[in-house]
Amino acid sequence: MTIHELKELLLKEIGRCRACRFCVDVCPTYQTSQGVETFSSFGRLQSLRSLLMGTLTLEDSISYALYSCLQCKRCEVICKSKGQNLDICALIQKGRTLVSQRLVEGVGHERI
Amino acid sequence: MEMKLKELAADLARFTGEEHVFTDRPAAMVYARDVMPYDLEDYNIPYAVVRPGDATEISAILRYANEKQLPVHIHGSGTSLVGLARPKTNGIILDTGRLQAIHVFPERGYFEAGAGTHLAKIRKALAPHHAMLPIFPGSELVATLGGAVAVNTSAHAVDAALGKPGDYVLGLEVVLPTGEILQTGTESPRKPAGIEATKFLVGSEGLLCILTKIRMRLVPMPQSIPIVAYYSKTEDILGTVMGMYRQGIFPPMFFEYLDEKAAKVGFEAVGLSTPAGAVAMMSVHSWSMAGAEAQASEFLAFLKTQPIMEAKIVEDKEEWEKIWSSRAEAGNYVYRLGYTFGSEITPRVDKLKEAYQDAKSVVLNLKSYKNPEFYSFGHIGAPTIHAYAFIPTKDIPNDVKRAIVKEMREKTEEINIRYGGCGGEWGLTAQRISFLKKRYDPAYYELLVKIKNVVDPNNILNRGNLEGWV
Amino acid sequence: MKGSRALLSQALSVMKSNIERTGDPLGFQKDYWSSWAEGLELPRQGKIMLLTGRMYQMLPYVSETTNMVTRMKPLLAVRSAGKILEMGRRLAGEKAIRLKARGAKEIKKRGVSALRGVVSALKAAGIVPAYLYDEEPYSGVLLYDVGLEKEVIPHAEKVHGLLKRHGVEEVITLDPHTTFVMREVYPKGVRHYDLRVRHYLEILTEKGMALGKKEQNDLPDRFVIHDSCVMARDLHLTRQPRELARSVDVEISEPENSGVNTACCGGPVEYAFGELSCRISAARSRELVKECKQVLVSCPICLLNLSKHERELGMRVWDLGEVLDRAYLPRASKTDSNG
Repeated sequence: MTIHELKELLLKEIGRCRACRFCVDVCPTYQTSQGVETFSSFGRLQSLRSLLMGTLTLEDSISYALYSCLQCKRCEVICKSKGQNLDICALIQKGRTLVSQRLVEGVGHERI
Repeated sequence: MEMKLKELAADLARFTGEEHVFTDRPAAMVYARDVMPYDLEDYNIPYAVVRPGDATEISAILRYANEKQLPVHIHGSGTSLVGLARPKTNGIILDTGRLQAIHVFPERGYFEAGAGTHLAKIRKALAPHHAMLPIFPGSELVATLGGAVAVNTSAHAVDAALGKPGDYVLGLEVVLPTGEILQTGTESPRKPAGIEATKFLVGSEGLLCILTKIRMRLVPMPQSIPIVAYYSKTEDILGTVMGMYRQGIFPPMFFEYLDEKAAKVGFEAVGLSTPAGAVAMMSVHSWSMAGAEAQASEFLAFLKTQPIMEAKIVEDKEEWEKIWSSRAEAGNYVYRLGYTFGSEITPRVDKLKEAYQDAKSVVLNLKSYKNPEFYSFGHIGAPTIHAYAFIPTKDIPNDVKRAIVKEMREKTEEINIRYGGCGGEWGLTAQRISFLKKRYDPAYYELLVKIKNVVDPNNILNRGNLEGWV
Repeated sequence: MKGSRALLSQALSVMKSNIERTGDPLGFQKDYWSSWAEGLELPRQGKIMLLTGRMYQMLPYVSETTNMVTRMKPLLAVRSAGKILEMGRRLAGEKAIRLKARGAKEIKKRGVSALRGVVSALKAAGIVPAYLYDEEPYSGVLLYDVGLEKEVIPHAEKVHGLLKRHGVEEVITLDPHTTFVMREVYPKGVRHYDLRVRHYLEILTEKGMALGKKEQNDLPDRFVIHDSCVMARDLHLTRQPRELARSVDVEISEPENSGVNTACCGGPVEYAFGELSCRISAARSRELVKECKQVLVSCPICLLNLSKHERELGMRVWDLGEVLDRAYLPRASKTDSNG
């Protein structure tokens, strides 16, 4: 899959998110951050979407959002039963695939 | 207004500590996002998100906001279905998420909880005390007590059986838009009579204050008996509801329906055989099991006078769980397989059938999108019809989504007006202001504006919601 | 959060470089991953190969470097990531790697016990797997986790090639992460991938192992079970650890958030965000000890992360492999003791 195809796939999948926020409270990083939404599965998906749409750049907060995810899939359990049945962790992990090369190369802040 | 972010961050940090102030764009965009299907615009995005820990910090923030003429948008869970949560203009978002403590006082007959506490957490905390939280939204995993009381919604419950959350609110701690901290109400389980401020502030939709702490009476957990009734068509369920009110029968605490299409997809999803038509499901409650059984038996006798195909008390717990979950599955179907645009129609009960037909006609004749499918389900005993325009694709341009939301809203508002209703679950500001203006005399809206101007002279809190900005 | 991008840049670069250079995520060239198997006389060739993925064996070195980092001030978070990696490079060059921290030595002991316990149980079930000893490869799972998917496949091809050259048809894994990556990721990129991958729990519960306690009776009577996220939600193995544990005649209690709803140990972000990881493992540990202070896990990452809170909470974290090591009783001896 090319980078462009990966971006399109991610945008399409994340676009299915309805912002119901059921995945927020079950996220361990949300729970242990005294409830900061940016550090929840929902927050990560929205941040990734903004990165893909070019409205955000790959800087500290996005890097933290993508890589502080535990990939524990608690969000997926609730999204499967009450939400849009998104593979949230897989989407975040693919987001990492998209940015990992840039991180390894240590290039400057940029739009993806 | 040119905003110096570093200066703003430093100022806010003086009130809450640096770790509770976020000026990064990701945080701003995450918090600003609500359930509306169209994207955020620049004017929706706040300069900062601040997370105060108590009323004192909120007071300081609001005083500062007044000084700087800086709009403050209150964030509970962000799950409002009529656009209350999305900021309408650049300002700051005040997240109530740190206002979380729950204290149960069985010897006093009440509990207190922070406005930012998720309802599911409160329900769990009350269970060991054999007490019920009288608020039932589908979003309770994330919906906050502050949000539910600010909108005064019992959500899925039948008001005639349970009432609204405000009926159980004994007192509040609030911060006024100008920064004063008020304690209202009583510590007795008996609510005050007369011109007591709790009444003005419950249901004030974040326009007149920020709720920080809520005291609610402990409601003993009732016993309940589930009933399911199968009908050949939705109209017959509506007739049952009309009959129930006409005959003065005490309604079940929950009285839900799925129309023919929703029943089919919902039942199939849970592995039950496809019903022949529409389905109604009820939960009859009483304070004792003997009472619940007697009440259920009487309600069943009433149902048997109605044009049902079958009605029964559901003895098998597993069967009931499936039947009850079919509602959520019907929702999953319409929300997952395409875009769905909802409505909340709560008409005069003797006009239920007309309201339903009108809602169906609105959906099937939408101008902003050709030939959507009509689905409906909801808390019909309340009575609320959620009529949905279901479009089986995710490929809809942003401007078309906006147009559909607008058309559905305006046309279903007309149904509420035509049949004497006023919504019942979702609140009356933001996207509902156009309805409010049409529904009532101009003096009504002017009164709300006057009250707002007196209490919030600089229009700091939730600016744009009373104006009806979207 | 501040400095995250730079920290992650460093961490990912070094991870990639370590694995490309040495095949090992720590960058170690000297074999640290096979001494646990001394004396077991496992064959080096065979159709059924044990694959530890070096996961249990890495724990003491991760523990050692984490101890060092936590002694540093939080402001040096970015530099401390560099320090970890520096230490890794230094240790990689050393002839003898000495573990100084007491916690590191203890975790090493438990890791060895866990690995040996699994082998003992497999042998009792009539399976003597092969083992590659110093040739044993790392699975590459960390590369996948951090999004370096392109780099996983060449590594996976090498691992696959090595196993095939040793005549391997089936791999027995001991940890959920290695199992996941070899089952779900390898097939997507490795040509002609036909390895059967089975976790030891799947094999042992299929065999219906009945084990008894050792005569010393040095196992607690009751454990609270903590399910690994990968085990529960990726591999769907929740029944098996319970069945196997109960077959050892210990009582298993369930904590809040159990089975498919299990709460994370915090391990997956420890390499970069130690403080966050610690908050999560502390929260989970507190949840577990509400039920019982003897905690049973079946994942080396969970073992490492939850054990950090043992002293503070008065708990003891056991790997299921350790329980097998202590409770194992050969069938003949069990019969004798029952007879």
